[in-house]
Amino acid sequence: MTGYAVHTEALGLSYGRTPALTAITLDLAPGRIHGLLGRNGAGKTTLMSVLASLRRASEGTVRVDGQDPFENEPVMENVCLIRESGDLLTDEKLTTNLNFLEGARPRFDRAYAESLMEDFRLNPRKKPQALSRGQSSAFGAIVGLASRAPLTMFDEVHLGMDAPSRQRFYDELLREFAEHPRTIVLSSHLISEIEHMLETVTILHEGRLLLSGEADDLHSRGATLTGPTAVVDRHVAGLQVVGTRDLGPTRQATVFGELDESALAAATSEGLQVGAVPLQDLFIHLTDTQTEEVS
Amino acid sequence: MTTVTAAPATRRSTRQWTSALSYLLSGYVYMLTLWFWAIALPVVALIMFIVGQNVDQVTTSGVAFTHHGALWFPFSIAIILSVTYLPIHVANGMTRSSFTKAALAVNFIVGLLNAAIATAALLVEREIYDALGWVHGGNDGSGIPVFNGGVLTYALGLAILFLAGQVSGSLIGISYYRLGGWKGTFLLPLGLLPLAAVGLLGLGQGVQWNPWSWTADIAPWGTVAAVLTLIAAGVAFHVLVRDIPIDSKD
Repeated sequence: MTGYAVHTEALGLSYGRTPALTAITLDLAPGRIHGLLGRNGAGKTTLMSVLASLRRASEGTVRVDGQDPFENEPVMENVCLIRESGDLLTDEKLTTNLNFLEGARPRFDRAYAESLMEDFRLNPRKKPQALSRGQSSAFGAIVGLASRAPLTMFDEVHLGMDAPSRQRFYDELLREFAEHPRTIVLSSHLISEIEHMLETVTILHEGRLLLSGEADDLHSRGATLTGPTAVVDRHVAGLQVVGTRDLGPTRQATVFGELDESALAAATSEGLQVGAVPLQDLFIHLTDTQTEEVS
Repeated sequence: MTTVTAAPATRRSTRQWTSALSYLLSGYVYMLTLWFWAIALPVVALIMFIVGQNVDQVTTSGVAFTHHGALWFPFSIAIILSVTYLPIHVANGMTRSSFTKAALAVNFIVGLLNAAIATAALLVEREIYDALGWVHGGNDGSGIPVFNGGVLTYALGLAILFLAGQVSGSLIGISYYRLGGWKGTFLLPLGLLPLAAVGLLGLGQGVQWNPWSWTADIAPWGTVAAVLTLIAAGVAFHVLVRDIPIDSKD
């Protein structure tokens, strides 16, 4: 199992007269971990809902594993979207929910789900409505992992978890991905926490595709320079600075754009640390720029 | 080093709609149906015992009163099924058409089950009435025995009536989910049409209440029209479900 490929062409969807997605042309390669980023209302959930056949696109084409997923039984049951809302039988025990999921998902691994429930300390006799937000998120994450769907999408599922639980989820996701490769789409506002896992990054903004590409390529679209404030300021003069952080006399500046080798070498020779551009800074910069351009 | 294990089969051994039907029947409908009768029948027995102590002769069936509950309780469950189970069904990778098939099959099976239990209870009650010297009359006050038109006809009539009630419930639920509160309320008369068709067109004009009469004054056209309305309601349910958007927030 290497996962499903995703392809959309000029995909559009409107809620009444309000466009939610406009002309989205996107390719997500199979067997990789993709990040789907965007501000609130950017269209991330809507896009994933279309891929999971919760909604039908108003325009354009959608292909999952080369087929239209809408009402396509073999494809739909192998596409798993975990939403924060849970989509569980709320008045049934967790163990009954596992029974239901076993019937719904052809690859569902119940033993694995039960072992994860032990790890996350979830009582199988509890009902979803009796769980805390963090526990609900953990159960959603477990469902997504144990479903082993060739296309698995997590939509802010880990938002309710505390930091140790989130870390456990990230670790488990990577371990599971190594053992059972598939296509994973992660949508999250906690960009700095997930960026090390992402192989590609897709950014939506106001319903449109802002960019989609290899994470490594995006990281090289700029650099961070860290060192004494005066030295950093001198080296970033004239460059597009998209973020700065100060800690006492030390400053870290994130610059956006292609930097030539000589400039980087000069910075290094003056004792500055040169690093890749953080995805979060890039994301903020790009979405801010777009908003300003539109306004 | 990690080990890549072989992926299990990519398809289930059963179709989605049979899987959904199995879940709905075993975990949801059977339990509710059995609970309903487990409560209704002892209550009826207690009431009739009390009534029997206070009148010279009982002339009305007590079990016949449970028809109202066996009609409207599954009707409300059918509404809930459309509104709450559908999004869970689709969000967990099952198609809308499998939901339609499973929901209509549940309506049919539960309608039949309730009719069978109600008829069996009436037969037992008739024996008890005969033993006590009571009259097993219909609850319309006519004093004519419940099974005046024949047991099988009565049972079939009940089954069609209960089925119509659930189809109406399914239609009303899906109308509210798909179209929202205002339009759903506006369409209530249409949603109730299957029940009204069976109740009005299929009923006989005789002196004894009967859930269905094959010899009604307008037979056979009333029967045909009622059955056609049920089929049309099933088609309307399918049309409303087949591309229904599942709620999401962004």
